[in-house]
Amino acid sequence: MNFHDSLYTDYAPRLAAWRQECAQRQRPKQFAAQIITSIARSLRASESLPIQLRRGLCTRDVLRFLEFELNDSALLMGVPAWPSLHTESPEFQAASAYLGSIPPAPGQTGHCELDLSRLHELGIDGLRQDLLRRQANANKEQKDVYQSFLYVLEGFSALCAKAAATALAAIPAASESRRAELKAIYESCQRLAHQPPVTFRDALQLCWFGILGTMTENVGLVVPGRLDIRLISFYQRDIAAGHIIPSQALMLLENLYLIINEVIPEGLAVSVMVGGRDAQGRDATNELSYLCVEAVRRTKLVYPTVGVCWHEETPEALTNLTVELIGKGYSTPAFFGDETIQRGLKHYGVPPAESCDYINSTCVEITPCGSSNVWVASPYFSTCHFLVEEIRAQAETPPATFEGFLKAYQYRLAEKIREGVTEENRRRVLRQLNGRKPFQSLFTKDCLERGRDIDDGGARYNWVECSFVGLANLADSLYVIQEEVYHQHTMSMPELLALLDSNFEGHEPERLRLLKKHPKYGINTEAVDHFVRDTVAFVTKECAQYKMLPDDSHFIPGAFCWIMHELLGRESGATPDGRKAGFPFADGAGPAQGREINGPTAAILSTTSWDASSFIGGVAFNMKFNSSLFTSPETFQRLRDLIVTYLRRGGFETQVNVVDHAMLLKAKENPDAYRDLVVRIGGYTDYFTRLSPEMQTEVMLRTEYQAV
Amino acid sequence: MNGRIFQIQRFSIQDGPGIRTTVFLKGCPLHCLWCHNPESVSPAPHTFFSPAQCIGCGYCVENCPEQAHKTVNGVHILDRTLCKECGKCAQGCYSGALEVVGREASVEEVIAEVLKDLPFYKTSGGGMTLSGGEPLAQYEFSLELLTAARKHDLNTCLETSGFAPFERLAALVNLVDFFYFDCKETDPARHLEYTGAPLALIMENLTRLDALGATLVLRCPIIPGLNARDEHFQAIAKLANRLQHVKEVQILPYHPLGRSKLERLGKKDLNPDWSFPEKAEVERWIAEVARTCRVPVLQG
Repeated sequence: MNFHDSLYTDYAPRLAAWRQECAQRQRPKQFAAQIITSIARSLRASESLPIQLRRGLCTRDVLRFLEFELNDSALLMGVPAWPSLHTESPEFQAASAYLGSIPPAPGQTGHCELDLSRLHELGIDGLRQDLLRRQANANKEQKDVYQSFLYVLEGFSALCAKAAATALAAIPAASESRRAELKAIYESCQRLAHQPPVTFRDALQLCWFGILGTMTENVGLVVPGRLDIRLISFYQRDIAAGHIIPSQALMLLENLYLIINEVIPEGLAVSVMVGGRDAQGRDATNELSYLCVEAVRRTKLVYPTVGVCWHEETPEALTNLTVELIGKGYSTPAFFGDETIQRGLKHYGVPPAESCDYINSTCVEITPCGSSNVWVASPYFSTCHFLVEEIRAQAETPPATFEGFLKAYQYRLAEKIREGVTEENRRRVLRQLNGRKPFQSLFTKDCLERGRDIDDGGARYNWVECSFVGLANLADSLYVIQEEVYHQHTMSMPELLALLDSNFEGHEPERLRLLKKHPKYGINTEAVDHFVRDTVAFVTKECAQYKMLPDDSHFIPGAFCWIMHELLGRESGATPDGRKAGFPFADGAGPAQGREINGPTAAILSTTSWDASSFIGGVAFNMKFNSSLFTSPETFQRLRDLIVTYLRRGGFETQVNVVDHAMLLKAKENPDAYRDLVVRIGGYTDYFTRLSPEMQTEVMLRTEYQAV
Repeated sequence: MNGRIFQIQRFSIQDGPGIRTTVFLKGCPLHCLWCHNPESVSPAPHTFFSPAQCIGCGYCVENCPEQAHKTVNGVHILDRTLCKECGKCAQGCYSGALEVVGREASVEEVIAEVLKDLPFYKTSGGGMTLSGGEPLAQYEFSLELLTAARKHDLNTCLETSGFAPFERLAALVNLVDFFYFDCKETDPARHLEYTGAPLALIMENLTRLDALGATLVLRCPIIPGLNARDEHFQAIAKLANRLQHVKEVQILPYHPLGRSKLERLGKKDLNPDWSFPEKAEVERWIAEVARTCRVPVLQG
């Protein structure tokens, strides 16, 4: 997209400079550390009150306490100015000690998009009236809840007002042109302090204040979510009234993205999702969908990721714009399979009118928008670690048949699931007892209607999503055990265990046999693929029999990994698939590293050989390519074809890395993880890792050269 | 029936429209000096040997009937004068050091492999490409593969040097959507010198195939010092202009990557000094052909 109007081109250098600063700045590791003293101060002052009121007051006090800083380029208010406070200071120490003495409220937080529709409709003042009406007819407990919501609104209004004051205070010293921008920020924040948002800018500003507000309750990872759907009416109104042109909306979106990068701690993920369908099943793509993607292209920072929610009626233009970004080396855009995900949500009882309204809550874990107290990634199960435990347990007297062994493994897996459920429910009890999050509750359906806090079961959806890590390694390992130990008798169970315990030291030929002789998940062989399908069916069934507190919610599986395939891999010993101790497990639903030796089409067929819809906890499939494959517009189109075929076959999510030199360098250093990396130059195709070092250097020079 | 193949490459995206599977047939009547698939020339299987991958497990030394594998001072040596290319050594080699290139495969087996990616052909308009070697050297096998592909509505491409009896090409016209026809050299004496085959039959085949209405892509490998000559470029353009059904000319700049395969085959590299042409040079070649050519000229 081209935005050549002077508004954008005049502003672009300032955005670029801010972006540059933002990219270089060390982001905070922890948000909460900065506001701990203020939380402690508030809680100390309210010890005699019920927890609901205490937390309401606390949120109010922290929201009031927040200050803002405003750089010379920002068009939105958003970056908090943290008072400098050393973690060694007595004040901080005392505050941490005090908070440490408060009973714990453990468990996952955030991972949701807020429901700001009431503020869109009523504004803060109107919502206050609504709360007062509800409070008048409520029971004692509900009265406290509504009171805590009223405290929240008081604080939220103060936060908006302070944002307005910050902009106003900056006006006198500002240049003539900057004054108009500051005035716009001032007016917007001032309006939000009492009234509903009117303009696109207002709505975007409110979206960010909502995220910031939940952070004060130590709730991480509340995300912008479906920006295109939420904001389109504001945008269209502004456009129609001539208040805004598309490039201005783009500038504001870029502002939001930069602020997110300034504030959200590193190592996390923040999602924006576009496209998808409405409740009637019609394509929901709008102009903002494109602007949200375009803003990612322009900011090109780690946050946010943009997910395209793809279905058959998704416009080609949106698909192509996203593929183009991927092809240019952006690794953040991802495609989500709307059909599969909606099918899964309906399976878990989400009504058809709501199943379209979900987000990838950070990475690929799906949560319903605006109504979620869903704990994601709780817990992670290291499937291969349990397998090695089973081999150890069975080594002396192994079952007579492979089926017997498999059953024993599944029994162990089922036990781990049961333990996981018990632990999460234990946390839910503590959370209900000791936790309250009135800000998040106020903007999560149905807390308001029920007059209940989100920690007390007020939300519409209270699922717990767990995650099974290393499915590909598990399938590969099970196949090896079946063949080596049970069918071909080339190895006994104790011998296998000894081999694993040795971490293949001095047994490289055996390791290579396990690794290379047997087919692997990812080459599209039913003999191996079925192990993933069977495991997925098994854990889906196992998880389905549990009920989660406080409202008998679902325990829902996923194969989402975040960084856990690496962490759990690092902690785990060698596995029967020839994986050495400490090596990462396969990421998500894809084949293990270096095993896609039949190329991406085969990997996709393996990955879509099982129904991912029950894995609403998230299923990711990463593909990586060297740019030598994509040399022309036609070959780029093939990337699109791959992605679309994956989604049509029921793919859940995919993201693609198209990398040049850096990937080849890594492949040269760590060939085991890149055995499947194909390079292609002028009709010659070969595995990169098989080339002689000299030839590798030559290819690297070449791809670097081509990229220029 | 069976044929000899050396590779089935899925997700092939540069040998015709869409996502394709390219079947590489083994055996070629030409001996191009720059061949980047040297393992494709002989119809017989070869043993690829990559000593850098060897982990010294000793399987090959123990299992070679000819004692061609030896370990000398800890270094794995394959004595090619003793090797009968039986491939027994590679059967238990999982390090990647030894690999048999080339095998017999039935039409059914190959088509089954090709059809695995049917969902991708449907999305992309792709299909099957026959390459080589020279597919026309195994004419009947190629004919059956293409017939089977047609039955499944696949788009089909044939990469050929054009060096075969014309009847073979003629019989395939209705089974092949695009002929990727090589144009290696336009000067007859040089063609014979560089490829070992006379140009006349190839040119005659090309002309006659065009007359039958086959859609053609001319593929022109350009090797600095051999055929990177302006008169050759002009002759390519003239040829494309003269024919009725050439939709595109592709310039394939020389690259020395076949050298890796020569090493693995234990063959001497006769042109160790040849290297990648400069990008500007390649652009100049393309411009020179495009200057007088009425169809698009692209880098292939």
